[in-house]
Amino acid sequence: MPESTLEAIKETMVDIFDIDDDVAIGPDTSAADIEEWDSLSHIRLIVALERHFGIKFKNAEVEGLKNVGDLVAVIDAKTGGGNA
Amino acid sequence: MLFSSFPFIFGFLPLALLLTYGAGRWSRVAAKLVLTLLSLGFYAWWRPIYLPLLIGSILFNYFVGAQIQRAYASDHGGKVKWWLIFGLVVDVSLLGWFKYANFFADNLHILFGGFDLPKVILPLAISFFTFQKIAYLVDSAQGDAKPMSLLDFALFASFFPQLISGPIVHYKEMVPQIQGRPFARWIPRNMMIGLVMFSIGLFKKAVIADTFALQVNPLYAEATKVGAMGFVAAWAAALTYMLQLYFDFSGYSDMAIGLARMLGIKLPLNFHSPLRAGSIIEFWRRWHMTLQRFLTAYVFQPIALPLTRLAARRDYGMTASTLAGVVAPTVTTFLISGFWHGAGWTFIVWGLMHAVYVTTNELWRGRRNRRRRALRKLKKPVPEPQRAEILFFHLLTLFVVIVAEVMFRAHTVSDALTIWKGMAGTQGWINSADVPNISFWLWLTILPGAAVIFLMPNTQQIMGRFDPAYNWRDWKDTARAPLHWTWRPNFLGIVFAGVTLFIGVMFVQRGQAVFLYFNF
Repeated sequence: MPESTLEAIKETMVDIFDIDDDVAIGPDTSAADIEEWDSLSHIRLIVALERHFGIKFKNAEVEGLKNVGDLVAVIDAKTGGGNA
Repeated sequence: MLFSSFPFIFGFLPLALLLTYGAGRWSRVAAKLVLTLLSLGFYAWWRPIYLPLLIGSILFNYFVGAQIQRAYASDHGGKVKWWLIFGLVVDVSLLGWFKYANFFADNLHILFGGFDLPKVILPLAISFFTFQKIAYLVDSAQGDAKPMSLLDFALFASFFPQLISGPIVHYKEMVPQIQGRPFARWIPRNMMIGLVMFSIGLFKKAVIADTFALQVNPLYAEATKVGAMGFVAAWAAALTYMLQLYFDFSGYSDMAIGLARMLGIKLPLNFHSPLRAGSIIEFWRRWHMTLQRFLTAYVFQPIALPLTRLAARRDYGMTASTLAGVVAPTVTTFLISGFWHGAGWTFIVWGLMHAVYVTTNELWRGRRNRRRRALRKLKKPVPEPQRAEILFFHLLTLFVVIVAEVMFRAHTVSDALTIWKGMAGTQGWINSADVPNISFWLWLTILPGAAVIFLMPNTQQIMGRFDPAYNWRDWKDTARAPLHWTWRPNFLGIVFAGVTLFIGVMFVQRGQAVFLYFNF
């Protein structure tokens, strides 16, 4: 079964941030919930996601992303699917 | 006109409230016009000759912003870009001329002789209103700012609570509020919340910060005059300035947020107990927050993103990736931050120091995370930091900030070196020249000042029941204070607000020092 966008984001976040595999990450998870999610680590997260999905974010998009739900929406729009 | 002065508190402010809400009963447009004119008057009170500069900047950016918005709406990517570049070049050049012409002329003079330039006086608030305009133009180019009337823009760009020293607001934070129906409608709750926040800010400025100013100024003057400082005096200078700077600027920001609230507008936070931060990265998320997010969005990210991509694509090793993705953007960001604060070598050194701090923090964090990840993969227990360790992180953060702020305050790099040497104890425990300046009173002020910072809830936490700021929801769960108290409009709350305001006003009588950030 192909993995969902949310799952792929979660895996990347576990890799970038200091969080456990079993931590709950949903569309509402934002920088306020993950201590280490700041402008420095955000860049690393974005580039890791770009490589995973083979896409490129615009500067304005990177700045406007406020939570995991926003990330899913932008990535789905770029990869052209909800469960690709 | 200072917020912490009698003409403002007893003259301008009541007049502004009366006229704005009075006009608001008639029409919202009238209220906007009145408030805009009052704001321009507020600015002109300082030096009327710079009013045309402010008005010119408003008209220019309104025009350029409208061109960008029109091009964006009709999908003319190229036009958006060229208008944006044109607007930014003009805005930055204006700031550059007024703020940096002398600095460059002086340094060129030292190197080559010639380049004599008469002293260019820095117009009040230009650093702040230029940044606000830059943010507006970029927001327009990204489709976040929509066309609006000149009056709405003029009010957005001149709104007196945030005109002189921020918070630096974005279009989407303020314009919808002044265009909304509740604007200029008398809502007693806004008045009450705003007044309490203003009172707390006034207390922080007039009672606490201005008391420290009395200690700081002679101590730093002595560093210049004597060129040497004992351990005790040097630490006294460093600690009192740290406290002064925090209470001065966060007090100012509280007053600004409170004043805006009195007029029915919620501004974003500028400080959220930064001195309680457990790392330097966290400190910078909570100190002068609206400047920091500006620099993050418009300097850090546009540099870090392509460089990090490049490093990932080319499979750079650890060192090269770090240089590209972390060091280069961080150093650039903090150099610009330092230079924005002032045209001087002290600010450049200060910026470099913070860049080194933040980079070190980021590298250390990366190393720790890799170690912890390895432990997790092996299904081994991952140790959480112990109390003593956490306390150490907090103290280390405070220490490095205090050391850097010496450079921020000193007139010259060599003055700062004098104080650092004193703090390191290389010039003796106490110098005879220090003695008159180190009074018992000084230590008596440092302790309660520190206690307020470490134990008490901050202004927005005290007002936490009343949605005190535009972005309060993002911060309400962060940096809880050991002592917990929230304001309510009951007997105790009224007494608290009354006493705070009364003492604040009493201390205004002592004479006020200009807000530190009016110099930037």
